[in-house]
Amino acid sequence: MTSTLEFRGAVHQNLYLAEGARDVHAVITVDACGDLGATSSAPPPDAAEVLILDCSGSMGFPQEKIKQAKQAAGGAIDELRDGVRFGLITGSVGAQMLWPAEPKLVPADARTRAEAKAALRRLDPAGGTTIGPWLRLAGQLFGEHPSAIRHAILLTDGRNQHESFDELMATVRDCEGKFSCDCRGVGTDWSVAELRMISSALQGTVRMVESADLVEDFRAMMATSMRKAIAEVGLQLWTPVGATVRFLKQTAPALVDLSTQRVDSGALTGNYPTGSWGPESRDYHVCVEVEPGEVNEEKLACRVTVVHTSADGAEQPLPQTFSHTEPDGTINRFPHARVRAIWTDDLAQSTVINDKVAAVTGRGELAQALQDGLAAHHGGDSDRAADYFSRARMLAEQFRDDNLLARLDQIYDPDTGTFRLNRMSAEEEMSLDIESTNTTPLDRD
Amino acid sequence: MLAKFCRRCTESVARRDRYCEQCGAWVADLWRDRVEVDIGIAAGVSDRGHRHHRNEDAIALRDIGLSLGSSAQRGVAVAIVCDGVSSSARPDEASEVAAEVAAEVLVAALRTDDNPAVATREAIRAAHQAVTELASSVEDDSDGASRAPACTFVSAVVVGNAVTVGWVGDSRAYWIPEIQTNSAPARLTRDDSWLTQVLAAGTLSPAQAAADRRAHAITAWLGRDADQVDPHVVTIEPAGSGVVVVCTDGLWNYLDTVDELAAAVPAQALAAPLDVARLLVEIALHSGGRDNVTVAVLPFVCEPIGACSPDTL
Repeated sequence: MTSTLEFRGAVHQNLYLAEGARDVHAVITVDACGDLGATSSAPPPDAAEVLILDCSGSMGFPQEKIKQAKQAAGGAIDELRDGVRFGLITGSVGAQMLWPAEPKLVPADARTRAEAKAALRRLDPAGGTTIGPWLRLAGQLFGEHPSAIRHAILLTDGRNQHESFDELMATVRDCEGKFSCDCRGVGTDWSVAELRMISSALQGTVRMVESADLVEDFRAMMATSMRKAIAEVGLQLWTPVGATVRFLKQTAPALVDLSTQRVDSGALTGNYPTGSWGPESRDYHVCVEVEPGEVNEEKLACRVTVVHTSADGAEQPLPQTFSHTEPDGTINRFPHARVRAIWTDDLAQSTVINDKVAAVTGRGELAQALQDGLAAHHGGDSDRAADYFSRARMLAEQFRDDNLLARLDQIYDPDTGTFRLNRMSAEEEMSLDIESTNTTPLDRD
Repeated sequence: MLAKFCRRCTESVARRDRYCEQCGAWVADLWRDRVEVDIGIAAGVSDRGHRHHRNEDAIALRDIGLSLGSSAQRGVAVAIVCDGVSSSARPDEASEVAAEVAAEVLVAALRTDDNPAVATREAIRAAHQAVTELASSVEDDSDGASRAPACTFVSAVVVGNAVTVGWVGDSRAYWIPEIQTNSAPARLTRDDSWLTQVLAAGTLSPAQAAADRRAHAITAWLGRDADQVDPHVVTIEPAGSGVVVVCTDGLWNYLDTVDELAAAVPAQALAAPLDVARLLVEIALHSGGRDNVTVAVLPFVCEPIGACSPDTL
């Protein structure tokens, strides 16, 4: 597998653990760098795209919603590179091919783009919303193109009906690894939990979008997807005998716990799929529990390597360099990330929390506080909700999360120091929920 | 992959960097503060010294037995000593890899080709390659200057009636005869150093040159940033018994002339190489131990009548 991307990263951690301590935390930043533009002689990678448009009856109310959705889909089609295989699915209680008529994907060119856009104009909203079949049909279409970078965009305005959350989740689990999926909700009648579950399992993003912003959002999403250079990228973790990966979380651009997605690849190694990558930045927080060493002893707690998994399951390291700053300021670079531990009886060394580890931990707590606050609010416990929101606001200030702070301040009364939870609009509530897990990569310094 | 004993695991374990591939324990340095190796027909000591926080010297000794079909009554001894360049990244790994890889290559080459000079050159090139590969990742200091792993190299092979030494950098080998009336003690290597170059050019007096802060700078080493590795190889055929002393600058900083060193080597050196190595290291430590110090001692026993050529040293 030749990759036009090169991965550059850094490991941030406090190397020192107190005597007897077992948990080693580290933040690993990863920047994929590369240029697929004119300077590259390599042909663009194979890609397959499916647009999944909710065309349940509610999409027609107001008419503006379906109108903007059609336009947005058309704009996304215009972003397709020539030769990218694509198709359109419309979803209601079942899933139908909108274009082409047969269940297959067709290479993009001037004619097929025009045909697909013409088909969009015929789209007529009717019926309910059952998302599982939409994803299954997409999975079937992508199944014909196993070596392509496979990406879907799913737009809905409603909650999943006629199947339980667990049924939907089972379908999503089936789709894991088959394609990635960015999810968009329009209006306020869809479920954040459902779309977040889909997007986190399928390596995508989730956003709430107003009708008027759909066109630009779809264009940007497709442009990002067209820049993806390599699929089936994963993080391979080596840990020593007796060690356990307590968790591996993506902490940017969205909070996603990858721990359950581990696939063992050797006695001491496991692979965590991260989907496809273009030029982009992601952050990870890893926590490994190791057998404590003696004071002044050093151990390697974890080695992280960015790998590509080929169709036969073989893992190959991709071009990569990770920098490690030693306590004396020296920077060492290795073709993998090393997470280390040195045990010490010096509290001044072991009690230091690395600022980047603190930042991602704080951001996780902030997300949790917001979600707990929203849950308490829904449960009618306004006192507890207020406590959670106060804590969330404090964390947002402390870790300078301007996006969430601004959203919280919209419902915060600085004079009384209270949150006007009862006057929070459905939209404010949902956007807080959504944005609680959308994050910005840490500063690269 | 190097095999190394990990003090946590109970057996020799593979590793691809400084950590045990099984338990993750740091295996690069723990055992290196003080290393004593005794293979009977040669011995060596490597010590961290008093000032450095880790030992960046490395030593490898091998006895390859009597496989050369010579009339030799003793095995063939191989010693390699390397000194990691302190201003480079991971000098301790560089010296260790160089010594281990060179020992392997030298032993294999001596077993198939009985010309120790050819084997020595091959070993130096292999060590250079291995140290260069350590820099597969770019290593820069905070100013962005390259500091790829680097080290010096000196080897000695004692086989039959000859001693072959090879070197790059400023680690040295000496010949110290048992009975100094038979032949004079001699330094067998010539430092690849700024001082040597300047003295050869004759532009400064020895005193002026030695006082220059660059005096100690080496002009050749193994590693990615070395311009071109040009192994120096010398073979001698001593007329009588004696010992070969191979060392890093941690020793010769304190015993700079061959006469000073010869005076420090006790009369019974042939029979107790480990004692000699310990003694020489102790002198360096006692004199200040500013640098890591590593000494290998290889006895050369003159075979019965006829086996030693009467000419040369």
